[in-house]
Amino acid sequence: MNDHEKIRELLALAAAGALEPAEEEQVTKHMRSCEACAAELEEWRLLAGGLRRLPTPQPRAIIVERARARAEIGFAEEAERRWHRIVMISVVLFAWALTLLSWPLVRLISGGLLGMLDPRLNHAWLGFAVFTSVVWLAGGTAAVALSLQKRRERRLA
Amino acid sequence: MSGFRNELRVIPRTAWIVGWSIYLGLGTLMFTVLVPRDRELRTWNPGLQFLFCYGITLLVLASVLFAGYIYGDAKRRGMRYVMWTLLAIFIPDGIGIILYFLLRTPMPKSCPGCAQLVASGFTFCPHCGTALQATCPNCGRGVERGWSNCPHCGTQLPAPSPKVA
Amino acid sequence: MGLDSDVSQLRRGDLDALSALLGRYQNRLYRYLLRLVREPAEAEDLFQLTWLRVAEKIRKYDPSRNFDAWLFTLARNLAIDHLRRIRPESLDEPIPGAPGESAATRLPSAERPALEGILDRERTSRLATALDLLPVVQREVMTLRFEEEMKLEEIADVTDVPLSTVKTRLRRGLEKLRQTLETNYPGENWQ
Repeated sequence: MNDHEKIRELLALAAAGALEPAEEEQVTKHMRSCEACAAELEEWRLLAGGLRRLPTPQPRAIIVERARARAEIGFAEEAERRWHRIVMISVVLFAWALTLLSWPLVRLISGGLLGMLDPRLNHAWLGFAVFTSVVWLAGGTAAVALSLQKRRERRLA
Repeated sequence: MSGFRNELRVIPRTAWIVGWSIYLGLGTLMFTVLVPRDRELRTWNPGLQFLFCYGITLLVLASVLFAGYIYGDAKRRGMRYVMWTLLAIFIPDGIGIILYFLLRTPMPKSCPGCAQLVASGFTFCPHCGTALQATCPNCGRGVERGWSNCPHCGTQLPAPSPKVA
Repeated sequence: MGLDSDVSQLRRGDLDALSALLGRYQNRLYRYLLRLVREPAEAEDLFQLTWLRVAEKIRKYDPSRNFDAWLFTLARNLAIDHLRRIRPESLDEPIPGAPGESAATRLPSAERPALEGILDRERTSRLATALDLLPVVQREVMTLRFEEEMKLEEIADVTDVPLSTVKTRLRRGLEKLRQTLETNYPGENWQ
């Protein structure tokens, strides 16, 4: 019977409780009339039951302890990393603020004589801009070179 | 963040005193003397003038506090703190400060054998000799867990045992 | 629920919550890893590594997502990476060990004399052995379904395959198990 064959295919999943409600109904209906399939289902159910009752292997207590210790260290390191990211961003923003806002500060302290908007002293303004860019470039290069060297040193230490 | 509060404690008292003095001094100097003399700024709303003076000088305060922090922090990490403090002060535009935070060495950890503080990067404790990290069985230099070969002598390393670092 | 509060506290860095979660999940997680890699020493190592990853990634965990699924997916990824590095052949083939061995020669023989008292234990360990012989993807679905009692949707989430694939693996796994047991212990039941 075509029906019978189809139901047989569903029996294993039926024992695992993995059938759609519609399929579940089909199986239940078929079971009422078919002894062979009911017996089959029983076999599958035994297997599923056996699987469910397999004894649970347990981890040794010392392993759980080590896991806890390592996780705690991981936590601390992750917090450290996050904090470091915040610090770096703040420091960079601070450096930008210093750069941008030092111009009005310098102008003010020099008593307003070096008018930033004064066209006669445009080259002073330009000089300031060039100086700042050069400092950034030099500082940036130094930072990259030094940190690369530091990283190499740390690896070999 | 409580971590932040703890870090603030690293700043020596001198830095706080110097910083606040300069901040208030400079801010007041700006507000009372320099702004009225400036062609453009004296036309501003006094509230804005106040904000300008005491706002911008906050950067000066922050710079002094950064220098103080770097002094204290570099010291406790066993770095050359005088050099780093001077770098932080004299390299302009805050670049010295950025450099410091990029390059600072990790905090010294306490030795699991004798509990004394040991600078980071050491493989053995200088006080009691306990190994602080996994070592190569051939040349004895420090190796990291997860490596299959020693980067110094090339020997194959044994499979890592699940021990806490 | 206790679990939700534990997880949210863990995200804030509360280490007591870590202990609580460890207690909750240690047996289940270890069992899952052991079923995947089959070697206790490796399962122990992966167990520690999984919890380390939990500590590192808990902040990125989306609280609306099922924590069980997230945890087991973490563990699974570590186990699969490990197997790929150490025993890549075990990811495809059902039977480990030297070539030429068959399931029949590896299972304890039914003819071996056994006392009644240990017969139950024998049967259970036969089932466990037969389970170990399944391909890893089927074995995984079996343990998640029957030992973990996960819903099919959760299993699909953890193993990252469609629901229909989960059902297929489940069915094939059961059929293969039954076939292995019947071939080696014909006529006996394995209750």
